[in-house]
Amino acid sequence: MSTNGRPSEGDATDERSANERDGRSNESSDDSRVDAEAVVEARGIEKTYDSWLPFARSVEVLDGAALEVRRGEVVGIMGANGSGKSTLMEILAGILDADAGTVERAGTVGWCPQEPRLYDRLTVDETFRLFGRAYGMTDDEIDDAREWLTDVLDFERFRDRQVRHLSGGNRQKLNLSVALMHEPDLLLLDEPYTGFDWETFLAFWDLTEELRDRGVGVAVISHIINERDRFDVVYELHEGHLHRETVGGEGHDDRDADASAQPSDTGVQSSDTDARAAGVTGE
Amino acid sequence: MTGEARTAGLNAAVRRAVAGTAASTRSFFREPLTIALLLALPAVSIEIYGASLGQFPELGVFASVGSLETTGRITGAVFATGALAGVLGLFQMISARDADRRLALCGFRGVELLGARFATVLVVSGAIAAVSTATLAGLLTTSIGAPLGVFLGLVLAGVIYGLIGVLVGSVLPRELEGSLVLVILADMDNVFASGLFAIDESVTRFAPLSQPHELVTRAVVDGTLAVDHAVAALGHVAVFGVAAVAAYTYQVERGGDD
Repeated sequence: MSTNGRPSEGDATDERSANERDGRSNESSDDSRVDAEAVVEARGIEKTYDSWLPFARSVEVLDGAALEVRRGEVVGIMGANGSGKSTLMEILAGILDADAGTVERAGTVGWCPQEPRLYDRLTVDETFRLFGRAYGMTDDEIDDAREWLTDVLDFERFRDRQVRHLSGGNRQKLNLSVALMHEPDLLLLDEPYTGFDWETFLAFWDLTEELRDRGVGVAVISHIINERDRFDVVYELHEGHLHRETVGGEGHDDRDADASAQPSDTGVQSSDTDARAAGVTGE
Repeated sequence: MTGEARTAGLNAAVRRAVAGTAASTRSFFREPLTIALLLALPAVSIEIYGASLGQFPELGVFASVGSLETTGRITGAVFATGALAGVLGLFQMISARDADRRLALCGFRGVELLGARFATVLVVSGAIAAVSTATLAGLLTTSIGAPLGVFLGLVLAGVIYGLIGVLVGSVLPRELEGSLVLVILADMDNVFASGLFAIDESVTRFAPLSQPHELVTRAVVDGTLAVDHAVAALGHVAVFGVAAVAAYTYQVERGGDD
């Protein structure tokens, strides 16, 4: 399992199609996507949080969860609060070890955590520089990435501002930018648009479409039910299990009865309400 | 791996270490309260320790090399430098904990991050020691015989406690509890190190601040550089350095399940 943003020697590229692996057929209307290489494939993931304290109960979060993201595929991960979505994403990213199961990644990884894990007293420019160095980028590559992302997400005027003095939305833009700046093969986004204004929310999805076209595999933890159509595949996380549902194309492909039974676990009702409930602000 | 690839890898590692050190040093000096404490705490500590011990008549109750007031001021300078550097090491670990893990995921190796943290401890200890040396020189009634020896002793006190701060921050990453452990430890250590009390030297010489304290005392009172104490202090640096490396590497690389 790779533990950093670059592929490790042990990272395997699995060329098998989902159909062959899962023994299913006609799973997607998009043959090219089905044939695409998986950039991350997780199987049999188990995770339990134990406590060292006496009388404190252990919490089983994931129980045999399986998921894959292919190149050019946008995957949504949904589930109720506390269902283990962020834990799953940290395991996919390699920041957290699973108790059991395997994760295979092919390519570089960009991870945007729910809480921005950034240095509060560095400026936006310094943050790009530091993380660019971590990714092994040259000065020119870092400058290009910074110009691109501050322009697309509209926060170039805050480049000299320290992270601790940024608004929540701008901090989230920087959080997303750090995950994207090295143009990874796999992008893992944990509720990336929290605090975004409406224009930035739309710009985010335009950017996601652009990344999809470039062949980037994107996994997004989302609470916005009406955004489901933006995803190629949706995974519902319920009681430690992932239920897969193919979205769009020639029709939905509900593989698991549990998946269709649980879509409103997030408690979100309508599109505008959905966006606001997910932290998207203003119009 | 070819020689060219090895050189490129080394250059990239150096660039990451420089970027990491610059980032954490900037973070330290960008906090106005930190700067205020850096300037005020040595003066307050030196003055209070000196004035307090100066109240006692020289009746031979305390075993001091110089006058009680001078010993008190030296003790105050060593305590202030150690405590400030220790708290820096602690908060550096706690405040940057999650960001460090993300940086490690992005490609920083644990050893590079740790190198950056150590370099920051060294730079900031130097700054604190410089302020403490200048303040001590200003508050002592006699001139300092070997100012460089004082500076060296205080840098060593800062580095030792900076590493202890990194160690405490790795195993006890909580601001309140970690600060309490550090300050109480530094306080007890300082009592042993001051040499005021006739405690068995075979025990007190292992107190982390004892060697730096002796270095500073010799430099102030005799005007000499006590090389033997400097070497012993470097031994403390090595011991706490190894412990900090082990704790930090474990903390950064083990993942996020606290």
